[in-house]
Amino acid sequence: MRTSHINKILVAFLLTVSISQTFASEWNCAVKLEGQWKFSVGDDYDWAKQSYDDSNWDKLYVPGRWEQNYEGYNGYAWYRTTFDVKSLPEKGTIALQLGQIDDVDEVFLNGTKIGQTGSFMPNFKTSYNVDRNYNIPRQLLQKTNNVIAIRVYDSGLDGGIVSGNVGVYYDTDSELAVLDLSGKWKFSISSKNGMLEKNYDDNTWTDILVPASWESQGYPNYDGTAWYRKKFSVPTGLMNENLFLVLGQIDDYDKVYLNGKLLARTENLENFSRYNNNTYRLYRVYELPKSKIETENVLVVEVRDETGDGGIYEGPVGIMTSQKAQLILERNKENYWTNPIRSFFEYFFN
Amino acid sequence: MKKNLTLAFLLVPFLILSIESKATYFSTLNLEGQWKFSIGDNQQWAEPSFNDANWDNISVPDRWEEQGFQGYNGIAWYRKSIVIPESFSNRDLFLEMGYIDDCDEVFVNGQKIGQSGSFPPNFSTAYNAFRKYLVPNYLIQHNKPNVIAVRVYDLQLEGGIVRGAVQLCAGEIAINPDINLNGTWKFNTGQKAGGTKTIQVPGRWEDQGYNDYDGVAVYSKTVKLTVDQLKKKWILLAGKIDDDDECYFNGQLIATTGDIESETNTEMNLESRNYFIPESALKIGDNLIEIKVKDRGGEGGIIEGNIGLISQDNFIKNWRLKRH
Repeated sequence: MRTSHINKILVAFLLTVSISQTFASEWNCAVKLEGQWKFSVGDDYDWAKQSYDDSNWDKLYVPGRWEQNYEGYNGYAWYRTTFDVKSLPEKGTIALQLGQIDDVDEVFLNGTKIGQTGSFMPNFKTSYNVDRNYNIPRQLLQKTNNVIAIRVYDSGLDGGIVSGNVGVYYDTDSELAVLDLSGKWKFSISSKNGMLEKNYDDNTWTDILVPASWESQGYPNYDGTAWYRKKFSVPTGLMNENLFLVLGQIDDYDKVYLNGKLLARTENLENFSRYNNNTYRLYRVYELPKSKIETENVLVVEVRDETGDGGIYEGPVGIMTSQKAQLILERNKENYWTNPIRSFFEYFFN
Repeated sequence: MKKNLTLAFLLVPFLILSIESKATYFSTLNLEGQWKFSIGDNQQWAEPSFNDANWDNISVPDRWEEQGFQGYNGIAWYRKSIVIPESFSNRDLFLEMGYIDDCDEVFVNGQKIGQSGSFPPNFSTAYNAFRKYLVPNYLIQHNKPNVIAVRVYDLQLEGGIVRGAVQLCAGEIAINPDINLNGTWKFNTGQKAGGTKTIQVPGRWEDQGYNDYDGVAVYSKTVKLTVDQLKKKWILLAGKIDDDDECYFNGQLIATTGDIESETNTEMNLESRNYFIPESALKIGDNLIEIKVKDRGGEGGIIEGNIGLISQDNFIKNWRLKRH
């Protein structure tokens, strides 16, 4: 949802510059990608290939409007750059953050598409004011010579990778989980008979990456209900622990089913308040009673998005022990109750 | 693309600054001085082959009342032949005609390149508008004489090309099409292409018999492509369009700007449109191009630019040259 009303944002910005830091996710930069990228106007999917020779391409500074060098240019253009990965945590989400891209983009890592935001011609739909945050599947990453290729379409005025932090980031939160559930899930935007049941066959469902908005993964501007499915097994050593299911931040509402039975919903969260519609900011931390956990489990998360971005969009996503889950829960408290100005402000504006 | 007006206003100073500091624009030929002149009106006078040897000489810029045509109101023509050096062949060329009282139509080598104000019976003056017209590159004969013909109407008081500067200027590196599509297109008001009417592209439709027309109209033209040409990727240089458009190749929608269906005004976008044509939309032989244009008020149509098809290789090459 991420309210887009400009005045709201401006006022919020003025009032809460320092406080808003607490909302930032725990992303750490692994590789900074600001600087000179390879650049060419035009359009050709061969340019997505890792092996493509871009040595005679032009260079362009990223981030920045491409009009800095290509005054008046509208249409397709491609960006390419390479990077090495020195060190990354063993587990957890890795993301390519590209800031804001004007208007539409499609991103490839080592030749494989990892995401898209907005919609290209002829059914053009801009997403110029959406932050790009693409999940990087670990199996695509190499130690050296990773190639990022970005296809961008601009329909008018500013174009390109225009602003924001650009780099490869990792989510330290994921280290908190004893069982990381980020990565590939099954996804459907239509309701299916028996889909909540444990033995339902979701093979025909599409794959989606979690956490990331569904807008960035082929469902631009979809508002409504969608279902995520994930199978996981719990190591026997953990079966006696007090465990919590953490689903990060979800835009806007969710209902969670474990092995066919309703486990929890947004309204159950301690900090849920029906007086504000900022549920998309709440970290989902749900207790996993021992009695409900089996060795093999199926999780179904029903997500309802009212407007704007939707989905399980921000981590951490996984199973945590009580102590670590408490750390995530604390964030909701920080966000909502230790700051009267903010609470008042949010109450007032919503 | 920015939808937010507040942001757009914030950006205006930056845009102006960047244009002033980076853009290339310089005078290449001073066109002030003696021109050929005749009162009266004849469409043949636009033609380069017309012999104007026994016309009067007149000084430009100046009011024609000062040069022996005291009290004359009505239509008159100016003509001048100029040689344009090859060295400017890769740049956008603009004809600056200063201020003309009241309205004018300008022709280069017989083809109309622009108009300001409108002639009777739907007269409107443009005496206080500075004239600057893009000269489409395909019209120009390099290192040879090129004929500029200017048709002027003056309602009353002073008339003619009254004040400067009058000159030919070179702008940015041009993105010239490989296959030129400037010229005559079929034109039909309403949602469907066809009919028998034609229109000059580029040009405002208000100047071509559709005064005060706001709404939807369809431009159409066929272009022949050979087997060899189909091996390349093509981009349609659609120029500047006022306001929204949908572009079709052989019935397949390939690109849009703005939203024709929308009743509310979309943001004005007067930058040149580059439409990438999917290979699936092209075929050997005749290809039908249809551009559906919606004008929401004021001037309308495919109003400026070097219209045509350019191969992606040349498109990239030219933009590399044009880059700052």
